[in-house]
Amino acid sequence: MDYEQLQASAKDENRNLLLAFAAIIAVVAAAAAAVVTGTVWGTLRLLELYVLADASSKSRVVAESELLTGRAPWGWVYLSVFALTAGVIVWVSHSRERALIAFGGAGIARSMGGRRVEAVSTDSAERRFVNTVEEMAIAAGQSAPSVYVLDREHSINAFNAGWTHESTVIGITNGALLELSREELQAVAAQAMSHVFHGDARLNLRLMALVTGVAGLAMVGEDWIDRARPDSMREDEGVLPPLLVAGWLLYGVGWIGVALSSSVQRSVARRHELLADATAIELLRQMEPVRDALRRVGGHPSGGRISHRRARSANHMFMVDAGNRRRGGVHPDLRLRVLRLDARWTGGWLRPDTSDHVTPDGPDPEPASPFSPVAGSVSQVPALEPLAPVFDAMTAPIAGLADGLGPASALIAPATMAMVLDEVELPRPTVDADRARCMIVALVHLATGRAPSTESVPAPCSPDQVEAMLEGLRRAAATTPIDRPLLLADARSALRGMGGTEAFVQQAMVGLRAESDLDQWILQRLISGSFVARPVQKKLRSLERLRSDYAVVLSAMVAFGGSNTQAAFDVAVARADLLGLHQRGPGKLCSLSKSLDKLAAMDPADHERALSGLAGAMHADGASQRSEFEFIEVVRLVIETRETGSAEAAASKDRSWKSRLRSA
Amino acid sequence: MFPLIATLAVIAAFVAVGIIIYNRLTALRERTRTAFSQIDVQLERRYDLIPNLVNVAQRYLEHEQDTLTEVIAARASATQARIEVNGDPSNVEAVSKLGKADGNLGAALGRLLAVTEQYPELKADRTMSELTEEVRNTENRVSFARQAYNDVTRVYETYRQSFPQIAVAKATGFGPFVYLETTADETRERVEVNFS
Repeated sequence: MDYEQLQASAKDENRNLLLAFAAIIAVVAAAAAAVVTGTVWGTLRLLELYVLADASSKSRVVAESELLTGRAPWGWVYLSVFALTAGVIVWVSHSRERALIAFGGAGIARSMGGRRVEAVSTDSAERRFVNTVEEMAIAAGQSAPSVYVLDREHSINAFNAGWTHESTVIGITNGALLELSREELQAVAAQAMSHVFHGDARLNLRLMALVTGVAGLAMVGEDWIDRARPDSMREDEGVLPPLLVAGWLLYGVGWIGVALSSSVQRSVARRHELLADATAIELLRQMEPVRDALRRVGGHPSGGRISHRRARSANHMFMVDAGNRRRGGVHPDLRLRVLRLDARWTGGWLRPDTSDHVTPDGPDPEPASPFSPVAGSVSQVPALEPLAPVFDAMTAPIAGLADGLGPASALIAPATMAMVLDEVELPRPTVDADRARCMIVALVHLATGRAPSTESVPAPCSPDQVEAMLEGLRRAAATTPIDRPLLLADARSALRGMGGTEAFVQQAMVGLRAESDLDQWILQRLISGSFVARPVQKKLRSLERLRSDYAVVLSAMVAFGGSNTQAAFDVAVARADLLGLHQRGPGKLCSLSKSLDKLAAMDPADHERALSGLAGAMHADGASQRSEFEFIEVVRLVIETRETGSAEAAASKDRSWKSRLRSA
Repeated sequence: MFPLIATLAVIAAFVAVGIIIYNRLTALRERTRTAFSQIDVQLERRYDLIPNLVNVAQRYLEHEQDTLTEVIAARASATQARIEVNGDPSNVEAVSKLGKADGNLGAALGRLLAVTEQYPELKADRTMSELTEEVRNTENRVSFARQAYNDVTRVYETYRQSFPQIAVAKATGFGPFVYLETTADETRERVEVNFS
């Protein structure tokens, strides 16, 4: 087989597919413009006919020649709407592309549970793969990208992530690291470098962003449908038929456009994989290692399956399908790939190679079994996984990583927290209910700056006790910022099951000026979220349906810290996987409270995405503000207390939260 | 007037084409030199590793002195050849000599690594296994650097020898570059070790 010719033909087909993509977008924009223009024309016409029906015959003739629907330059209107629609698609695409670019290859790798491998790693298996990546980089005339390992993944797969040559990283699963021979690892590295060589990631990103832009039309249609339908939440209960019809048409056009453009995008991605296989062969000057690496995937019990939740949205970055589908999707059929490389292949897969095994340093691992947890079964994902994104943000300093959490890093180091608690005389593990109450009151006084008095301190606490607690908090604050969520969580443990707690905290919060001071608003929400019962939400809503309220909450958070709020917002939107969300301007705290309360109706399946988006915003500027950290906790308390209508649900999650903070 | 303008236009077109060709030749030549310097980096790394490898292997390979001696001698020749090239890939004779000497060294190393496979205690030595991986890595780096150099040299030579580029190349002093070819020794993948 002539591999150069294979490359040339794959490139030609690529070009044709891209032209088809551009044509689809033009057709979708034209159809959407027709819908909008037609709706406006139709509505005007109906109004005019309604008005004319009342006119006399003489005036009707005069009026008809003056009709707007006859006079207006509808051709220009259509073209304007077409240009506007195409502009909206491009703008949404560009926003999405920018948000994804901000994430970077390393960010994507870490979000999938990847761990960076140092160039001088002492682990022999990792060292071997790093060496092969460097070899392939030399062969391709490129600089060697950073290498990441997905420690928890025991299937055979690899990925490349990043939008520029400089920011690209290459990753590999632990299973591939241990089970592939050196030559096959070379082939995997060559295949990944080929993608880098051809700039596939950037092209794929653009195509994905364009699909998002087309999907934006469907979202607009859905929004019009929502607005046009009767809704008990609105005062006006009338139906707007033209808007409803236009909304449905636009929704349909949008999703047809998405289906078509996604299909083209998948075709392009499949072509890229075949081109990468051919380029890998050119780099290696051998076909066998590339073929055998693919055959090992086919022969592995888990194939290329990736258990991490983010694998679905990052599937196109992987060498083989991360859902272990052998055909369809963004990867060519695995059999087809092997056959294209070796026409004489008879269909046999390769079992894990033990002849060239590199024993991982340390005790011998147990052999992988399809039935053992390490085989990549999704059901074995640890229970802590849903909160992993926020957890990662907060435990990184404990793990010793300088991940840019800034001042917040001192908040959660166990030694520092012990010091704080010692200062406020709240020793662990024993917690004293009276001291817990005093601490809550002391936190309120610390925030308001007021001195404790008999009016401001509710029974059973006394002003002297609160003053002593305040003094302890001030001494601790001189050394490290106070972690209010953790202190309140301890107080909740102490007061669990005790009657009168809700009434007590309501009295304690009386002095807070939550309408005008952000810090006091946060404290009020932390306390009420921890101790005050909420009505059980009967009707659940998806995050997409709560997008406007989420946008308000997210916009408030990005306004807390960092200079580039738009970038932080875009990163958060990408992590939360929401399309076309717009940043809101500064609003009042009462509006923020309303939007936050509406999020209590969020479907539990979307909690992780929502919190992940907020954590992404916190990380985006490379430093974390204490207010961001507390704000995420406020949101978490709101969305996680819906189950039982009390703080118990949040308390149970809080225990696991605290234990992870302690044990990390 | 018109013939004068036409003549000037033709001359200007020739000059423009000549400039374009010259710039492209310059870019390709620099790429080739860069690729050659990459080989030099890898060769130095390889030559530095060999003494460590021989020291560790000597403890176990008392009866394989010929193989070790061969490696040491090949290294010395390759080091000398590299000095003679002095980073200039247009020195045809020196580059050819380097290619041969380096090829012989690669073959000798391959034989040494094949021999170490026959000695379990040597293979199990942790230092030796790390060194073996490093040698393998370095050999591959040299090999791929050479491959990358040959690829860019091919592009340069194809362009340089095509018409009308060859005219510009000869007039402006763009000489040929030599491919780093493998030797017959180097193409052998496995060596039979005779223990009789």
